[in-house]
Amino acid sequence: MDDITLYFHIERLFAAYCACLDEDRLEAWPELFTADGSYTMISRENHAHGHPIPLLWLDGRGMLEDRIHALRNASIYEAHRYRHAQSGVQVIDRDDDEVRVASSYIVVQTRGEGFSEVYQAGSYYDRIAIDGDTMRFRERLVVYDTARIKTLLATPV
Amino acid sequence: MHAGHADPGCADFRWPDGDGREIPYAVFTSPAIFEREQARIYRGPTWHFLALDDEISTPSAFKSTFIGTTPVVVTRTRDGDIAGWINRCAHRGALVCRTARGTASKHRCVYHQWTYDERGHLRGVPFQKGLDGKAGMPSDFTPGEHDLTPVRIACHRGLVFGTLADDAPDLETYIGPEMLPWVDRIFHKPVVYLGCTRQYAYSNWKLYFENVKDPYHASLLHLFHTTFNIYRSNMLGRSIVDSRHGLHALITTTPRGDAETAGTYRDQGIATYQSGLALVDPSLLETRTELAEQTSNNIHTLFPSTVIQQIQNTLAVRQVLPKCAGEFELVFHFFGYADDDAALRRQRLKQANLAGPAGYISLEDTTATELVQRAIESCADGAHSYMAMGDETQDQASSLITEHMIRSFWRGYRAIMGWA
Repeated sequence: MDDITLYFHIERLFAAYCACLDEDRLEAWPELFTADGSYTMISRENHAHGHPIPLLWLDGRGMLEDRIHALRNASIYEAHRYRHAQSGVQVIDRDDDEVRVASSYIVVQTRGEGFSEVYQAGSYYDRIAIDGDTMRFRERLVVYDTARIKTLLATPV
Repeated sequence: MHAGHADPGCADFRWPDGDGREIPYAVFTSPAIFEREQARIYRGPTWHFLALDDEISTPSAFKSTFIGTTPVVVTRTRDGDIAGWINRCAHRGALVCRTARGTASKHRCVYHQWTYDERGHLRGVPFQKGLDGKAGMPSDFTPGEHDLTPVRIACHRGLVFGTLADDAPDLETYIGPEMLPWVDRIFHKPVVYLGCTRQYAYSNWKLYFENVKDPYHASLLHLFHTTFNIYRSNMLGRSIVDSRHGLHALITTTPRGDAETAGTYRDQGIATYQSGLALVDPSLLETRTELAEQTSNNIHTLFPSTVIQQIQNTLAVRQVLPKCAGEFELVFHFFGYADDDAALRRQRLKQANLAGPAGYISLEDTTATELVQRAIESCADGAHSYMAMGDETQDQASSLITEHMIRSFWRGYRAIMGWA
C-alpha cells in the first residue's frame, strides 16, 4: 500500500469513528475495533507519571458494546452532542498488518441549554490493524489534556 | 448567589427547628455561608485527606492540593517524614509551587525568587544585602520569621491528612473510635497509589456529602448497581454515624444471592430493575475476595472532605474540594495493595470503569447534585428540602432505606456552624 492510499484509509477510519460518536450512531462504534481491540482513556497526568489508572478501559469488543449498552439503558446523564475535530495525523510506524498513528483531537460538547464549549482536548495514539482494504483499531489510547472532566463523561471521545 | 434571591448572610440566619429533615436551600447557594464554612470548618479544627503516603514516597516528592479553598503543598523531606505548608509566598502572597506533583528539594517563588526548603523554611532572598551597598532588606530582617505557614500533618496507615487549626485533636481522636476500625479495615496493609481522576461539578459540596450519606438513592439512581446485583437495598447493609457529632458516616453492603434480592425489585416494578440486561463481557464484575467480609460497597465519609471507597475491587479516596457556593472539584485517588498479584492489579484497573467521572455507578451523582443546584438557585426565602425516610426511633444502623445519616450530618453541621 503506497503512502497516499495508506493515509486515505486511515482518514476514512477516523471519519467513520467521529461520525459514529457525533451522529449518535453509538452501536456502530465497537465495530470499528478488532474483536480483541481495546479503548483506553487516561489523563495526561497519570500517563506522564506512569500511574496506570484509566478513566475508561474497555478491553475487547464485548466491553465496548457494554459501554454503549449501559449508556442507552442504564446511565443517567444530560443529553449532549459531540463534535470532533481531529488533526495532525502522523504515521509513526508501519508494517504489513499494522500501522501506528498519532493525532490530536478537540471535542466540542453541546448540552440541552444550547451552549457549545470545548469539552475535551488530547491525543489519540492508535494501533490500526490492516486487513486488505479494511482498517480497524487494535488499540486506541486516548491521552486527555482536559484533566478536570466537566461534570461527568458518558460518551467516549 | 442568584440575583433577586436575598442572601441570608450569617448574622441574621436562623436555622429551622427540627431534626434535620428540612434543610434551607440557602445553605447551598449563599456566598456568605460559604465563607463562614471556610472559616469555621475548613480553617477550623477538622482534618483533611491530602495524599496517600505512596504518592510522595521518594525523597523530595511533593503534591499540590487544597484544604477547602486554601492551597497547600505536602512534601516528603530528605529525612523521610512529611511536611506541609500553605502554598502562599511569605513575601507578596504568590503561589510558590505551580505544579500538581513532582520532585523538588527547593521551592522558589517565581515573582521575586524567594526560595524555601521542603519544610517551608525561607532559605534565600535575592538582593537581601542590596547591591553596591545600596538598598537591601533592613538589618534586622530575620529569614526565620518569614517561613511559609506550616500545615499540621498526621499520617495513619498510608493516609496523609492535614489541618490548618492548631487546636484540632490528634487525627485518631478526630476520626474516632467508632469510625477508625472501618478505616483500618480498608487500610489493613500497605497500599500503592495507582493514579487519580478529577471532575468539576457545578453544585455545592454539601449536595455531594448528602449523596454519599444516602443509601436510599443508590439503588434507584444507579441502574447499573441494581441490575448487576452490586447494590440492592435489601442486601445486608450498614448505615452507621459517628455518635459524637453525626458528621462521619459509613455505608456498607454485602451481597446475598441474586435470586434472593431480585424479587423485591421485580415485584415492586422499580424502574431501575431490568432483569433482561446482562453484560456481554461479565469479567468487569468478577471480584476477588480480599476482605474478611467482602462488602460490595463501602462508602465511608470523614467530614468534611474525605470519602474512602471500596466498590468490588476498586479502592479509592475521594477528596471533595469546594471552590465556591455553587462549585466543587472531586478527585478520586485510586490505590491497590502493595502485595497485589498481576491479575488482581489488572482487575482493579478494569473496575476503575465503575468509579470516577465516567464510572458506571458514579457518573450519575454529579448529574443529580447539579439538577438540585439548578433548581434551587432562585427560590423563595425559607424554601427547603424534606428528608424523612427512616425513623430515628427504629434501628437505622442496618437499614439502607434511610436518610438518617443525612439528618445527623445536618445536625452536626448546624452545631459546627454555630447556629445553635
